[in-house]
Amino acid sequence: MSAKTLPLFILKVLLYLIPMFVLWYGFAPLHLAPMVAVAQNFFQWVMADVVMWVKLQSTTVIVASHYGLNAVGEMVTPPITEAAGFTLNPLSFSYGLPFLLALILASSTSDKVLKLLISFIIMSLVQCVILLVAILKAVVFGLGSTVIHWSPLALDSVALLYQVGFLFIPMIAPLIIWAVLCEDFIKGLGLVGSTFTLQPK
Amino acid sequence: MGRFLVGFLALQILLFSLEMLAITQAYVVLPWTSFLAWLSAGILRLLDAQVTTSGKVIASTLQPFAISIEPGCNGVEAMIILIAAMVVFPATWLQRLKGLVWGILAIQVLNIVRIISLFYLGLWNEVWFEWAHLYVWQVLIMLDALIVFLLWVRYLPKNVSAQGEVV
Repeated sequence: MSAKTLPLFILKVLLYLIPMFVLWYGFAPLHLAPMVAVAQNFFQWVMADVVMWVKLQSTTVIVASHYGLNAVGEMVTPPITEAAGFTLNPLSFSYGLPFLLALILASSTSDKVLKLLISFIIMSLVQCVILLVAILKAVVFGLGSTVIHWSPLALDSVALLYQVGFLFIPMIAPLIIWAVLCEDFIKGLGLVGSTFTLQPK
Repeated sequence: MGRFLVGFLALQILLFSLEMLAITQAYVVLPWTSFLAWLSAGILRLLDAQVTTSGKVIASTLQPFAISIEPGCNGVEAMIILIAAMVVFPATWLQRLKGLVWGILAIQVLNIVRIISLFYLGLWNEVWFEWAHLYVWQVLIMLDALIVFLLWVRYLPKNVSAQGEVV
């Protein structure tokens, strides 16, 4: 493998990132729609008494609840005037998708189209789970303890899941998926003497 | 590869859990974030006298604009990923130490470039600031960590055994 392979790969990733970001953002309403549909069905199944609907408006997810503030600022249901709602930006935890697609496109690997498709499906599933957690966190902490009577442990778990989903998974998922799908290319990068090439004694 | 990924993921979860602890946030992450803000503001003041800092907040004295460096913006997550990858990868502890010193330096230098660029982007255009902040720089920092790791692995001695000993 040429010594130029790694610098060339890095350059290609940077170049592919630009069109991938454009496509990802341009088609965001399309690739976000199935996730929002899953979220709508999920919350109608598990929290139908709290969540009225989940909708996608352009690239923003809007969550409406069955609750609203009364004249003295208490959460009541049904809402007297307006229902309490929350907005989320699902793109803020799906930037890993253009990154992963750029990594695969820049890798000299076989079955690239199939790998791109597999990557898209896996990343969509991962983002769907993060979206569910983000909506859950918004609803649980947004409506407060007068509406959601959960134990402190359950609330801490939701907060922790949100932190993991927002800070950790979007960064790590593209790297792991790329490493698994493009193992043949990584081996060829000159990573000799590594776990990728040596068998345990 | 499978063993590496499992170890890498397990160490990631451990380090990320440690990062989330209140004590780590209070005594490591927050002071580090404040230090980054102070350092970034110091560099910014060399270029522009109209910059001030308070804790993790960098503000302009000319325009009503300020940025606060929050979790996810301090490079700690990228550092955790690099630490996990280098610790799990077969190498000697001295090689890992050298890799981590240079790798963390590379991540944090780019992170300071990120903070400075975001400050000026925010002064100029809010939409571009949001774009760069939420999407582009997140990916560039991760790519930086990946490049550092691949370079480190590439320059490791070729005769490292699977147990991580130089033979």
